[in-house]
Amino acid sequence: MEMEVWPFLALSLGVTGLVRLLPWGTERQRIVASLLVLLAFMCWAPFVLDNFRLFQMTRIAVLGLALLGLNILTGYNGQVSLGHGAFVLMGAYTVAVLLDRKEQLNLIDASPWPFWATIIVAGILAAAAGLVIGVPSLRLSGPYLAIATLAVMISFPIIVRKYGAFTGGSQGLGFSRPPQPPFLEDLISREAWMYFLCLLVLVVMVLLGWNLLRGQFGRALQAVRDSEVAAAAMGIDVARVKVLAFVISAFYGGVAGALLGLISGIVNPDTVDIVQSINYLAGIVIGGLASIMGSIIGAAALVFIPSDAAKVVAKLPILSSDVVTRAPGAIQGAVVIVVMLLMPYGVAGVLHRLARLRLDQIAARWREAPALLSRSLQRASWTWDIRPWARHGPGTGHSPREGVVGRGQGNLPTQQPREDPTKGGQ
Amino acid sequence: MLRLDRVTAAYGPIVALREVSLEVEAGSVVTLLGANGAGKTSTLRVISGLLRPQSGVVEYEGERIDRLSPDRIVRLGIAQVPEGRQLFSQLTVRENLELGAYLRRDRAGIRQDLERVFNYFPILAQRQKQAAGSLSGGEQQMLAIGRALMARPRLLLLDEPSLGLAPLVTREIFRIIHAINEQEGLTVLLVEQNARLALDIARKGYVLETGRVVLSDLADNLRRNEEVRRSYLGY
Amino acid sequence: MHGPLSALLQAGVFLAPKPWDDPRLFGEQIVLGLATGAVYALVALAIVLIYRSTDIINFAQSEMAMFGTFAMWSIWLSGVPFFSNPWALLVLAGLFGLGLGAVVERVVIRPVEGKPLLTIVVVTLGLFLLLNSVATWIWAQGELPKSFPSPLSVLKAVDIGFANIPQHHLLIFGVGVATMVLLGLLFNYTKLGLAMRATAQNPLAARLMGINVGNMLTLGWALSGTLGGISGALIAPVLSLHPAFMLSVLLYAFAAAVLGGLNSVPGAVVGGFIIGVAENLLGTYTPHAILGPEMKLPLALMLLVAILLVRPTGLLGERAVRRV
Repeated sequence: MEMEVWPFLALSLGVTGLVRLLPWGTERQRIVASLLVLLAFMCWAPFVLDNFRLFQMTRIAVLGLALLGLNILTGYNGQVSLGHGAFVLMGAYTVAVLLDRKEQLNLIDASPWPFWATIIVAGILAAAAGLVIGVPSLRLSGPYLAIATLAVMISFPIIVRKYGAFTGGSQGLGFSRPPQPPFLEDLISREAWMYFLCLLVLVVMVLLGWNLLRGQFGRALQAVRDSEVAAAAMGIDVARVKVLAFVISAFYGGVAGALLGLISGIVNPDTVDIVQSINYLAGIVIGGLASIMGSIIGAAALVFIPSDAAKVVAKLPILSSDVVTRAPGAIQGAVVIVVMLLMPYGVAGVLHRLARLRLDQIAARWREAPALLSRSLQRASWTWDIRPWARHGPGTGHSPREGVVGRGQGNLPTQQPREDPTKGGQ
Repeated sequence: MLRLDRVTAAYGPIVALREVSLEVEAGSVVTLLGANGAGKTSTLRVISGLLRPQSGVVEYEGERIDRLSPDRIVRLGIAQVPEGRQLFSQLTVRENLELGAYLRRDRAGIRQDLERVFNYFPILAQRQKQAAGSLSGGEQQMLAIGRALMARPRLLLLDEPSLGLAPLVTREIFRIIHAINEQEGLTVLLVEQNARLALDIARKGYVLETGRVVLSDLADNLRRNEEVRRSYLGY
Repeated sequence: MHGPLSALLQAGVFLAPKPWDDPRLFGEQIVLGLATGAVYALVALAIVLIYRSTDIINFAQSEMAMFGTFAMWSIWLSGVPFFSNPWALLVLAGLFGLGLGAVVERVVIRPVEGKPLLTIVVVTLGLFLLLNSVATWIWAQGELPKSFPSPLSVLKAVDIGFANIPQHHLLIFGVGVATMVLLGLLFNYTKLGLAMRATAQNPLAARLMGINVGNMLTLGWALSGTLGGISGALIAPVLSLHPAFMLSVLLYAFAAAVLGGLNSVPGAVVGGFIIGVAENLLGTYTPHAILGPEMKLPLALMLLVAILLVRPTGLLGERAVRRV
């Protein structure tokens, strides 16, 4: 059975959404059930998608992991980094050096490493690098931090090229991708094996991340993001939390890089370039800041927009297909702009609002839908204001500081926005 | 001169003003009293065009102004001294005053008004070249008032001029506001937490509570009003 | 002395040219650095102009400049009398940038005004992609890179006493400095400039003064587009024209803007010149075997990061006031 990727995704997400909204059981049960359904569909994917789409799905899993790492740092902790790609690249190189057939790195003994061990080593090395970068970064914030991390990202490939003895220079390192374990050999292809490997690692890391972020540490991360002074006053060790955010984020990046290396079989300085590293930031903003689900959605956007946006737009009668075929990037850029225009708080924010609805309540709410929509959008724009380096917007009179929160109009008999939609999808 | 008729306004889902009506007569000082969040500042924001009312009418000298942009309203002769002063803190005192006259084109008149402001606030003349942010709180408030006067307004909106100031400085500033009103006949709408001082120089007052006008009367009557005494005067 | 270190020393790995061996070369490196530094300073100024009034880092800055430079290239090729003169092209590049900046602000940025900053930054990334792709589509057919005309010569050098400098580099320096002086005059001695500074500092109060804040923001983007356009036309004869030719300039300009302090106009100028000169010196006077010209970008960036660690808001940037 073969399926196109869009019907497949529509089917799997549709069923997942239905399970999520069904009026049975507790909220928690519904969430767990829907995630299990989604996982089942994702396990079905290799058997219905063609190899190109399957490879795209594999990349989404890898990229989702990388974006989750960046989201922990930027979305949850408010430290904007443009250099996350450096950790990913580092993870990829770790795997390549350890698995390289030419055994260039004779420092370690030449017997081949098991591939799963290289993933762990890559994560740990990246985490160590995260520590090295995270500590000095304590002194920087906002765009200064962003540009400093970008400097790291710019320098890394150049350094790798210059010192080619270990890294293979511009050509990079090649190695054979790990074969499927014997008991799976007859069941699935090499591509499917790569996909399942990445999916497995993603699921494990998401569970770890979810466990970490929903608890005290997650609250500390966000408290530091919202106000370092207030967080310190509550007894949070701000410096420790910020460095830890860097370390954990780098760990995720390193593991993602390791997978990226494993699925490609070759690693060179262009495996992750500057533009991609900057795109990671675009990915989490499009997907949704401070949201695990948003990270994965962002990864899907980064993979599917370049491959499909132009094709979809070409079918619309509004543009001559000439533009679409010869300037696909223009369509991609326009799609990014339009998505941000329609969903300034990312896709996850919109989905989270949808998840709030219960099927049995939708009918009742339908009549007041327009008012509800405008009110909820307004409310979102009050509460959901992650602006790590914000003073406030240009005198619009719409920013919460000028408008409501700062004016302390707490005694008004209206509902104060309490729930933070950013925390959705965990 | 200024009339608000059943004005309702909101920040997003949060309603700040509910059918507020009030009137300011030319040449008088009118005060708005109320606790934090009662809607005093929102009223001023509606008048100066920073907040668009959902319904109701704002009329200034017989003209509707509730759909005008802030710069149009400044042009009509309404200047606001915002809460927290909102100076351009890295610009000099002189530049701040010049910005007050941003919309004016008459150089001679601007120079004249500069003299007038320095007359009321001699300290500002001494500090012309200093960054506004380096002034003391009282001086900053004087600069904020001076800046508003530079627009040569006919109606001055004052938002909590006493905020964060020592009692002595506050009294000095109120004395000058009173003097400007007496000597030039400048109409003043004064928002103030310090009800006693405000009622001293005002002719008329409105009391706001959770976005509604709950009481309005002459200042003398308000001062004697049992409710006002208990809630806002504290005796 | 034994061991790997002495072996490296004997192999001459750490050998580097010394500035005093060839004073003319040193002089040339400094002046050439000042010339490219002027371009970095212009682009850094463009970034700072937008950042200090809106807190947005405009990633599309380089592509706006690239787009304008390609448009100038088309005019040059068309051979229209007067306009295709390289001097006129410099002026036209500025005017084109002015218009492009204003259009971008009105059409792309205005609709997301007041949204979270990162959302707006991502919009500028989308714009980057869009402009780059459209430019590739329109202009990048056939041979790349394209050559761009200079009013003077890129090859012919002038002896300025202590160094031989290509004519065009002197032009870059001169036009760059003149542009900065004009900008300084605009900001410090005109009412419009005062209004722009006021808007950047306190938009709310600016509105109360009757300043049309929206227009000031548009003007800020327009001015920033002008600076980008001029810098593109200035550097294009050196780098030659290519859809990605401004990207490296943008990265250096980021470094310059951050080095000087993102909200400081003089800081951007100082930062630009420092980065330009440092880049040349670090490339020339470090041991070529282990560092050298290929490593000049990482070295300049490491210098930047080191300075930032000492002064976290740049050399001339004001300390961020942390509001509680």
